[in-house]
Amino acid sequence: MKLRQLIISYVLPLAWKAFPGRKIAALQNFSQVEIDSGWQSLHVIPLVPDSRTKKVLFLHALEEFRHGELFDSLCTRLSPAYLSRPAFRRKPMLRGGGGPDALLDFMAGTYVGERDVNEDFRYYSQARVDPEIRAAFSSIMAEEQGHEEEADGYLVRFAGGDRRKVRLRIWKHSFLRLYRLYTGLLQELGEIPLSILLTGAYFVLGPFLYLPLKRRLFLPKEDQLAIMKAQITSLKTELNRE
Amino acid sequence: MKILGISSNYHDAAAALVIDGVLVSTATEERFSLIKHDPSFPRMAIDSCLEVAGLAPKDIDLVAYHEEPEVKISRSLASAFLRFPFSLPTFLASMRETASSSLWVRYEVTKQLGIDPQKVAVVPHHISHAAYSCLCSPFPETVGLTLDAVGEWTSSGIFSCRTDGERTEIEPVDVTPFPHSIGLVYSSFTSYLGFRANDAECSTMALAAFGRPRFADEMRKIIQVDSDGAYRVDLSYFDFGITKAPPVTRKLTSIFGPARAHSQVLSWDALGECSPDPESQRAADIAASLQLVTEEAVLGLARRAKRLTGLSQVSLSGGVAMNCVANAKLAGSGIFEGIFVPPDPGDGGGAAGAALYVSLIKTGRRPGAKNFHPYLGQEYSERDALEILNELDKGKSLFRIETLEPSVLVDETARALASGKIIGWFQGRFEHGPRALGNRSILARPGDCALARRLSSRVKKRAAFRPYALSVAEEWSQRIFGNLAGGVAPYRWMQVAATVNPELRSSLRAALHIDGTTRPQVCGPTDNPLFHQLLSAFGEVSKGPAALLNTSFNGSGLPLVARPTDALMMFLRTDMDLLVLNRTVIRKLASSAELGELGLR
Repeated sequence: MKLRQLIISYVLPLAWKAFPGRKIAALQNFSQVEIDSGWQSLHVIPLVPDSRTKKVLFLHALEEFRHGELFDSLCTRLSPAYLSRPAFRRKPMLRGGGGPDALLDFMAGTYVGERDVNEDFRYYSQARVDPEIRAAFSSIMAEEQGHEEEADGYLVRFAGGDRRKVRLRIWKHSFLRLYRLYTGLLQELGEIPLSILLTGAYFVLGPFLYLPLKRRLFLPKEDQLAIMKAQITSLKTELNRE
Repeated sequence: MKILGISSNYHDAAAALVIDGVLVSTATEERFSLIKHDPSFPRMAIDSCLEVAGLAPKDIDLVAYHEEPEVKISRSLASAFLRFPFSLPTFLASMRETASSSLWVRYEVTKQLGIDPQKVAVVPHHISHAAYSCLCSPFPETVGLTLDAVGEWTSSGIFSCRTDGERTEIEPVDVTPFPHSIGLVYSSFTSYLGFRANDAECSTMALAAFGRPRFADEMRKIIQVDSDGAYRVDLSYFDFGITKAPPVTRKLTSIFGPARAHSQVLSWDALGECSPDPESQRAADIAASLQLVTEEAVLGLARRAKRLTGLSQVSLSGGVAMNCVANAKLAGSGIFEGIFVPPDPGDGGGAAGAALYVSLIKTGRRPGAKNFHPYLGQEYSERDALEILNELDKGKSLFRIETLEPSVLVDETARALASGKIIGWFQGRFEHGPRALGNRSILARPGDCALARRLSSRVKKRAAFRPYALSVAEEWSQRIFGNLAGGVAPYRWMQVAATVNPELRSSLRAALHIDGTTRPQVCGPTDNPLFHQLLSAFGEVSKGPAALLNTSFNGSGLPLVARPTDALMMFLRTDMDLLVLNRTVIRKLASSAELGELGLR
């Protein structure tokens, strides 16, 4: 059994039980990841030369949006209140022109993503989490398996049947995923000292900043208006100098 | 001079392109990312604006950003310390947000577009709002009334926009400083009533129509409007300094009761009689009270603005200016002779406002607003969508696809609408702002409540208490609405509610709220010629009013569609009967079940 499987199967259900908020956040994240996968496919359609591939990408997007909606509705049902939407930035995997090489790269990225998601979903469907969450994962697993196979087929096609080229691209994207995981982990770790530092600053500076900031917050409207007028004057000066 | 306007980092990030004083293109990032209210740097919206004008980032002379990031940070810091020492989570969240985005606006512009940071000008948030509404309005001189939740240190502002000879100046006259904000109060109650804040304020407004304002006196203690029209908020009812939803204190819940759970279904129906449960009644009464006092505050500010400036026209902006019921009260109040509400008064319009303001400073001349229209998004060919459809259809006959001449297209669509079809109508450049104005619309016949219910449950997936809007051919406006307060102009973009003539209500019932009002788009022959033709053709075919139920072309939780493939996806995923993509009509020949079996739902 892999470490990831162990964590998802045994540690995660306990963590979700202890901190239900994490469960909701995880479901929100799944929803975003699925929709993002669909969005990437939609985004690449105009760059693809043939109708058949366009169709496959479109169907892929259709399924991924449905999966996203499924997780989103689960999230709404299980959450006690509407949650603010998590910050999620779209970053097109393929930007600018298409071309066979760019499409091969896109498809390799898609394949690696689908492969990993597929594996994770299998673990989640067997983990001792809420039955309806398990059922959701089970219900979409077959489609996710199909996405992985489709991506594999297209990879070979875009590489002109060159399996070695395909393997190299898959390695590249597997490495990139690991690298992103690593940097993500570093960022999370980095947030711990940052949070400690900020907490320290909050309590040390707070007593000194509290009153001046509160005074600033409740500045009379005349003073506030004067500040806005000064902002405008400064902007005009800056623009007229250029 | 080519000026790129940008707004980002709160909600509804957007880009706008102003060339020689003319707003050439503008779009919100959500249209491309499909993340509703997407706040992230609007790279795709920028690309789209540049593509419309055939420009590259290197061609841009100046970038105008819609707020001063450093000032915003100082306000975030102050509000985080408001509840010291109990606001640590808010402080940490605020500092993280600052560190990741707000601080680096100039750097982000340079990194993303390769533009010199010296070319980035930051425009105060409320000036961006005011410039957008004033400079796009048809009025030579106007009050700019900004009604926002918060922007930098201000929540609402009164501006004068005057022209002296060739020179136009926009000057601030009065401000309401944060945290006294009707926008924040409205959002907090939206969250308290079980809706998503900064998103579903329209649900609170819709709910208000079912209630009685029995909490109005309590609400007046929260929003206190002075005799001079200024207002203040009693902050002891709210926890703005602490990250929690809803941000209300025990003092508020002791008066209004506990916050409503979002999972509790409201037993109201905009389309018919209903017997509400006590909880639904309480929620509606709170919403009605909030709406009433919000209107009083808006009218108070309007009177104050009139007194301070002496101007007789008003242009509204800021998120609260999307409250079409309050706008209607203002239009009907007679305080001003004319009222203008632009298509996107919220932060999405801030990008255009910032760019227009910088253009005004550089030239001193007011940009031409005579030909201002809301169709400022990008236009797309339907080629990809048709290729996909033809592939899907191979050997299966799932769809009938026809490309038609405009006049035939209009007749066919009008006939289909009259026969009770739900139609996705996708034409040309997409609308600027959150309202579907006949280029990205879902249409249905307006007298058929059963059809509207199907639309709610099988297409839009939205709550029954929310009403639909009505698009009307201008020739029918007088018959449907009588004399509209302030003339027809404010009613062109669904920004002001109007009451429908009782005699015509039954034939338009599906597009009306429970109180007989609707949020109309009065469409003239020059506003949107093809859509106007469709409205007129529908009137002829159905032998009734030239009017259609019009709702935005989007799925639940998603923004309005921009591209044909997005539209096609929504068409397939829902119970829409027909999709019109520019000149092509697509009909479903297969049943929903058959499409489902093929993975097309």
